[in-house]
Amino acid sequence: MFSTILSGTVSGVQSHLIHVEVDLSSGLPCFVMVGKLGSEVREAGERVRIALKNSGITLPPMHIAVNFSPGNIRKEGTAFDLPVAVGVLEAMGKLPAGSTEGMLLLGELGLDGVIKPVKGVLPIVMGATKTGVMKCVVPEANVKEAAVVKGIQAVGVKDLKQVMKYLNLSGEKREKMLPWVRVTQSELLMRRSTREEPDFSEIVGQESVKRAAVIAACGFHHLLIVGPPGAGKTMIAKRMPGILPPMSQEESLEVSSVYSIAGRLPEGQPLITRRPFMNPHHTISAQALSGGGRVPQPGIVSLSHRGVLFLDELSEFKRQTLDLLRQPLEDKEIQIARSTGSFVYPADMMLVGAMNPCPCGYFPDRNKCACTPFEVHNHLSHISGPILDRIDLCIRASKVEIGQLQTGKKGESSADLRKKVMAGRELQKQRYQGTGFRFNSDLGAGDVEKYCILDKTEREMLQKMALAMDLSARAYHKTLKVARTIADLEGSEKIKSVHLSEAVCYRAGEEFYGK
Amino acid sequence: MGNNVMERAMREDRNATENKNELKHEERKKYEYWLHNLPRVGDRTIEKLLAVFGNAEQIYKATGKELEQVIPVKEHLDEIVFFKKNWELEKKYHALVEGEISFCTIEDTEYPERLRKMERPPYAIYCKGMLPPENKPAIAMIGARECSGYGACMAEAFGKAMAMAGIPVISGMARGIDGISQQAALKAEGKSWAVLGCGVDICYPASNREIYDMILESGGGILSVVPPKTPPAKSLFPLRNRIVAGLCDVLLVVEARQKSGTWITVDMALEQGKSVYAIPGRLTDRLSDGCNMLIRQGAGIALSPEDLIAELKVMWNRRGEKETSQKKERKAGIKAEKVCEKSANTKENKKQNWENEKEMQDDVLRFLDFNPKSAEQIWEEMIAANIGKSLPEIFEQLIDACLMGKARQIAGSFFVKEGWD
Repeated sequence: MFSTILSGTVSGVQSHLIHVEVDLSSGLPCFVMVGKLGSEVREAGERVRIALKNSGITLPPMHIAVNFSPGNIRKEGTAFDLPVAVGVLEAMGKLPAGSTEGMLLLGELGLDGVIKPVKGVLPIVMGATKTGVMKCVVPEANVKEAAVVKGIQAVGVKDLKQVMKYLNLSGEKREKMLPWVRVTQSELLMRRSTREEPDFSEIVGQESVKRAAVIAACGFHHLLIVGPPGAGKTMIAKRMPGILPPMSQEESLEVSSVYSIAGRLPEGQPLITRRPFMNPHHTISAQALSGGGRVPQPGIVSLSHRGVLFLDELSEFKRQTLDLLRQPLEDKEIQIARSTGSFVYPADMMLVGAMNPCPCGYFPDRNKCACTPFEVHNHLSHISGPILDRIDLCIRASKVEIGQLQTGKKGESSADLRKKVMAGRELQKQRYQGTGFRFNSDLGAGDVEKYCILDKTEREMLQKMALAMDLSARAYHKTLKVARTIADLEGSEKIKSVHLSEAVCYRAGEEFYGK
Repeated sequence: MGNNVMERAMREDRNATENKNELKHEERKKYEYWLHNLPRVGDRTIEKLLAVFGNAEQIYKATGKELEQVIPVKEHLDEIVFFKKNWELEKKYHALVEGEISFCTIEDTEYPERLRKMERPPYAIYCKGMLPPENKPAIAMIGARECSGYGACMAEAFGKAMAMAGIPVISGMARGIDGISQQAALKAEGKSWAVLGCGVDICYPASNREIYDMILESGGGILSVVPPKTPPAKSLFPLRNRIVAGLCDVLLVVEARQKSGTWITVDMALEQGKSVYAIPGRLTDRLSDGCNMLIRQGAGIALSPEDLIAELKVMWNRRGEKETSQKKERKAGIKAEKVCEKSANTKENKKQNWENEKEMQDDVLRFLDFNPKSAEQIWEEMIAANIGKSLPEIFEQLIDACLMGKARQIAGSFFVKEGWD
């Protein structure tokens, strides 16, 4: 007797449909599982046997073979417990044939037959719907995740006995016993958390940093804030997600997939509706930042996908750890190679870095700073050239004076700033329609010339600036990109000289590159 | 025909004597070089040895027993004997010549007169390049290593002016004021001399390599009282400062804190009877404390390069007897006058231009300072002064100022005033 059950697995963010084939034949009693299995999957055999026993089913003394197909993809995780158990039941004849037709099963089994939640349900179900699967049975705790995906009827189950009962029914009776869960995506996206979000209006002064933050948000440029302690760098970074436009449905599904794989979807919330904000401590290990482990898991870089990755005290991070950011900043994804295969996680995030300008923190104020040029350069050289090249905006924050704090003047609110950002983004959307680009920051050196067109006067001015300020080719292109974003923010189709002037003030100074 | 033969014979004769003299000179130098390199033998001991033996060659040829009278300590004597055995006279001296380093002792005619006048002139001075000229007034410019934008600007302005007036600039080629003054002088096609606290073949600090090379290329010189290959050491710097003070006629302190190494040099200059001037600064700048103190204690106040050059001229003319020819002196004096006139004119012009632009520019320049200020700070100050411009407009004006050479961008959004008008 033979049965096939549909299930799935994820490698990286790529989901695969797995066929669990169970066969019962005469021979010495044994339970054999084949198909390039990870150790957790191998253990499924024991769990399935005992769970079935405790649900009233004893395994027959036959040669039970389970194959996981396709055989060249490595299967990991505990989600195969349920499919194997159901496969065995169907092969034994305890379930009517075809009861699991077109149905995806996922779930971990406890020894008492209880079905426990698993990771990665969302991406697996998303992948399955692409192949025509229309129904799925998943642990109760994961059902909302699965229900979010369009075109699937998701049912959540508690234990093995319930599953057996459910599958023994057919048609409407099934629907009556366990109705499939409906959650509309738009519902979820509207239901934003009532938790108080920090607001830009709480920041006093620092107008130039706020402006840089708005420009960064508009063009999705990476931002570096350099300033002494107490300048408010961390405060501003924390408020950055608040001025980014809300995530689209597609973005939300992407981010939720990553979080699902990492097992980080919050209880009862199947979709991540707010842009992620990750703020790792500078002692973080390279692996935790980029992702990895023997069985690759998404790192912080992927968990901040479509959101903000804030690295505070950039100079305290180990150089090697920072260098790992090179690939994600360039390719917007991160590739982790292991002996088991190569995994790709998305990493399209906005990097916000904060650091002191020198060991004492007050450069270039000569009255307070006594650091030698060598010390300053040493401090700043923590950020390697390639990383710095990918950061388009660099702004200096100065210490806030007590007097300023007491004026009680409030700045613009996050909501107002967000409106500006969204207006600027509209222009970018129109400009890049049909091309592969989404934001000004996506432009490479060659494309910058194409999309950031300058009139004669502006072109001459840029050349003058390039000469007078010794701009490198990279700095030249960066200035153009940023000027394009500033022009978008101001609602101007043309890049004017005032935009160029402002853009050149956001470059990392020569003290970074040393003499 | 006969005359030609006679002339040729006379010429050959002259050459022969000259060659003989040169050979004698070189021989002497080899011994003197050996003498100067003796371990743990300083100028005082050399003096004593010369007093007893007469000249370096005799000291070299003396036996251990004879040397005992001057070097009583047995270990030291053994050291010297050992040193003599391992010192290859010819080879060592030739190495000097190959490295284009000249070795000048107090017995040579080329030995700088100013050093000879010192209370304890150094026995020898090593020189790469040329020795400083005797017929021109020399100014030493010293100051803090960690100087402010103001100090740097003053060092540049004064250095440049000295160069244009044909006055050599002497300094220690250190980071900060020293290096900036010398570089400014060299860039204005002047000549500069650097006295180092290490061997003349070592460029310390390495970051001033450019200045080291420029000094040699422009006809200046690198000087030192320690042999080549001696690494820089803290103990050698006071010695170097003494020479800087010795070689100049006027010492100018550009910028220094209240506690600074500059004071050692000032004291030495005063001991040697040199004039000391200082550039005043703001009471709020810690880096001007030292200079302001000096002025209070009686140092001359340097209010402009032109003033200082004029004073130098007067001082130099008064010395009279040092001049090799009256003409040369007048030339130097006239040149200084011309420079004063020229800079006075440009001063007027600049003021006029600035006033015109002021109307066009609307005051961003007013808020710029020699110390870097952030654009935001300038914007806030302008708002406080009721000039209601937006931040992007301020950026635009600041960049315009940079393009016109009136300001400089530092660290992205910080700006500093450029030039002194």
